[in-house]
Amino acid sequence: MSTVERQNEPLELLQGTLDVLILRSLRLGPNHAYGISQLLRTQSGDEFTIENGTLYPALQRLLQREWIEAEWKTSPKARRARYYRLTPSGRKQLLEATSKWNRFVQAMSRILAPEA
Amino acid sequence: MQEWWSKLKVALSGRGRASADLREELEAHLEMQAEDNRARGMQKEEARRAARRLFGNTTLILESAQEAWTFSSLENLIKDVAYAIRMARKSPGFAVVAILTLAIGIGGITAMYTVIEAVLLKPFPFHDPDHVVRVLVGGSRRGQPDLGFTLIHYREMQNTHSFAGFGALGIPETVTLSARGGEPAAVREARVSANFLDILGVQPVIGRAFLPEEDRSGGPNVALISYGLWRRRFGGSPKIAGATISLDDASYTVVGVLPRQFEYPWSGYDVWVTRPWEWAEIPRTAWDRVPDLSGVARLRPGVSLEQARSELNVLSRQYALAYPGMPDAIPSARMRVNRLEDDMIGHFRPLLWMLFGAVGFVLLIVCANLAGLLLARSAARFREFSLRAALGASRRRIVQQLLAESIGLSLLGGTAGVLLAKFMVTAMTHLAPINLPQADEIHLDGQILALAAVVSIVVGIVLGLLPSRRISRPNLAAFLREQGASAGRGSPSRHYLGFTFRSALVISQVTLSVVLLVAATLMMKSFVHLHDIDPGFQPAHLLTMKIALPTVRYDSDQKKRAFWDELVQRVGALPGVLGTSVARSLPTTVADLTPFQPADRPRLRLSERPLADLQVVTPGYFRTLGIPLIRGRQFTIHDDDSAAPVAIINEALARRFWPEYPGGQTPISRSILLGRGQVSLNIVGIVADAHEDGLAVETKPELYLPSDQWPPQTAYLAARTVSAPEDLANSVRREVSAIDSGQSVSDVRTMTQLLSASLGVPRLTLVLLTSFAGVAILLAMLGIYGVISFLVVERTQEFGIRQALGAQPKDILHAVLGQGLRLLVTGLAIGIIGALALTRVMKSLLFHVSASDPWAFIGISAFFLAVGLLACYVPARRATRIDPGVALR
Repeated sequence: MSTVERQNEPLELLQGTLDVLILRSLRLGPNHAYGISQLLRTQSGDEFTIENGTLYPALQRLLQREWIEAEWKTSPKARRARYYRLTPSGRKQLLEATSKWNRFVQAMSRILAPEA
Repeated sequence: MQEWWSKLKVALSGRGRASADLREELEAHLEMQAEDNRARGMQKEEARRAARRLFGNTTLILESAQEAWTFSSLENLIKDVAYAIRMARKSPGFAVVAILTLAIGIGGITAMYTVIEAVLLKPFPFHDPDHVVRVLVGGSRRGQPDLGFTLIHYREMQNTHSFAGFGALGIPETVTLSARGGEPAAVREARVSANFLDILGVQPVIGRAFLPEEDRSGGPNVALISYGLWRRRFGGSPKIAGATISLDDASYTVVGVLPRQFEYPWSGYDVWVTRPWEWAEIPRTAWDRVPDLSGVARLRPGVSLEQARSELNVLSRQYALAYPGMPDAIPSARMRVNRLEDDMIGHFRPLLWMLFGAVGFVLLIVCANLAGLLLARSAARFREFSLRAALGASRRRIVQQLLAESIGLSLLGGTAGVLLAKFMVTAMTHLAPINLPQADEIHLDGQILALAAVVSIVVGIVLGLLPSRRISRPNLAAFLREQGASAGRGSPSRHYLGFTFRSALVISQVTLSVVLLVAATLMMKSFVHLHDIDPGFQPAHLLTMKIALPTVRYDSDQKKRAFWDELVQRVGALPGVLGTSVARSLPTTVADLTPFQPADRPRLRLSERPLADLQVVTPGYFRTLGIPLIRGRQFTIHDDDSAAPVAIINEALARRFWPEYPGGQTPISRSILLGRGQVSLNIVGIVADAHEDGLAVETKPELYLPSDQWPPQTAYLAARTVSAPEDLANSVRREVSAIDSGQSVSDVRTMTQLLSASLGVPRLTLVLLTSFAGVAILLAMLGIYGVISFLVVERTQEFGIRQALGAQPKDILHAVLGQGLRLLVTGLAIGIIGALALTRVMKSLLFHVSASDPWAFIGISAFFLAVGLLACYVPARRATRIDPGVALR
């Protein structure tokens, strides 16, 4: 099988993974939307570019499931921003999703790994 | 649950607040991005612009984020429906056409299904109806009618392995019912053996069934009555069991009331009495040897029809050897054992399924037609969809929108269709005299309404998805960039076997309507054949009615003769009556059969003698009906009981035994043996053949006897009138009660009505098929017109260029007509092949027409080509008028 990956194209997020990524980023501490998107971009080594058109609906979704909560606060740079924070049920959801993801990755790599 | 709750909270606390939050948050986001940009060394303005560019479409983000807290699917649906209504109001023409065609398609299929469900699909209201059979003796020769059997034969068949019960049904009668406090009324009476309810597995709703001793000679007179009669005549009184009624002046005890849906032996019976072999029409001494019983029996579980037949065949052979002189003693007879249900509804089955197939075709045509219309419309609305897509509508939303529109249309069409179906069902069951079994059970119930709703929704989904498939596939943005250069042509059309999808739709419409038109044409031809038959008498201006003399009051030939003679005299003397006669049967009513043979030939066994219709008439019969006398003389008043027995025969009978007729020896003055052979009749006249058994039946040997020598118990009066026969009905009734005030009359009809009723089934079939075919052709032509118009619009530029390069209008006309012709011929060819295969099922419904009648096929092809080309001609003309200057700009 030849390689079909094109290096310069950003990776598309897999369906449903954004929620987990947001939850994971908030485990480091409360953050605002801009901060979350910056964090995810840098932490993925610029592989993921999170469109605002997907980020905001995802945040609203998580708010409604009560996995995160929001609060207007003043940022270290003295700017008012809406900070999101993990709730206990969000923490639990993150744990579950992480272990599921690990199993998924293991299974995928077992199949995709070149035969030894 | 939790999610719904928080959505509700947002909804209650007001979206304004939440969306203000969101707006502020987005603003902050932009600021932060811009700050970062400035930190990287950009100028203030440039930093803001870059931030905006990166950020994306604010409104869209806002909307999609807000969607998370709405009940979006529901809200969208409401919006879509509102939009669909706006669209429908914007182009009411399209909506009306769509709803009407859908109403025809859905209404037709709902109506036909309603009838089929009640008549064919609902099990008969008998217990385990699959095991109930009817038994007859097969005719001795091919083409001979099936016969009944005698009481002796019936008794021989009682103890069999095949049947759990074996009962008998006699010749049904019309009797005069009188009960305390009511006018005498004529009712239909079935004469059955006492065990008939056990065999059918039916319990009376009130009272009890017959008891075995009520079948014995000299047993009590008992009757069961129908639910309808009980409600009509006795007000549904629960005290009916044990009440006394009078049937033809004999008193009967009512023992029970049968269930509402109960119909046996046919619909319309109101009274059931026992001892079917004790028939007033024949002398007491002959009761055990007249073959007028038919069997009704219940098969034992696990016994097949074939097994039952072979057992009865063996028994009948033994009977024929033991009683060789009996009219049903046919050693080679094959017993007819058929499921009662097949017997009662068998002949309606091909008719109803064919009509169902026809409405199914109409529905398919309606769908194809509407799909074509919607495709054309979607092409025209392509701009609108592109714009909506550019403004952020997802593919799903556009498809949803289309579905809301098409399902809305189809539901409205379905509603109108159900109303139409109600009307059609009423028309089919009440206006047409076709006497469908279980006719009272035919109505639109909840189940059928639900089915109609499902059909509507499925049709709506199919119609909505067809165009959306095409809309959503192309790159909508590309369309906007091109600014609709190719006017409404959304994407390159996909081709199916060389035809675009729309053309394929049109071809299918042509195909289906060709099949329908062939069916309608065949039906029309056979109806014309039926209608053109010379009945052999003059049916116009004839008033007829049935009069059944009660056996108790009219117990002697003397009394009967006196009544009929006085009736003929009185009615004949009425002003406006040209002639009058009494006859035991009239054309299209059921006639009795009798074996006969010339007296001077070797005696044949009774069961081997040919059968003739036995008619008993007063002297004026042939004059009144207008049947020409060919030879000899008519009956006179001198042919009475003191004179020698005489007979008049028809030409068919003459030919049967005098093959050289009209040459050779004349049958006049020869003797003929009637019935069991003790009576020898002198032939005094020969009359022309008349269709005494109805138009569709070939003329048969007919034996006419004078009524003064054979006075009938039940007979018909026929009066030839100067003006409209209906006007005299009341005067004639008055004459009847003047002779005998307790005497009822029934079946008051004109002869034209009788004949037309005998054509009821073919007429109804013709009317339905013709209207289906008419609708189909109209829709198919609209479809052709639509697709050709569309093609002309598509090729506007091409035609412009051609004209600019010197093409004549004629060339363009040919090009367009050629395209239409291609569709027509393809559809026509497939349709004719389909019709050849499918019209076979109509064979039993056709009269003197072959199911593959070449003229019908040729005529229809020519008709279709002509009408189809006309439909193409209008848009083709339009193509020739294209102004190259305008087209190419």
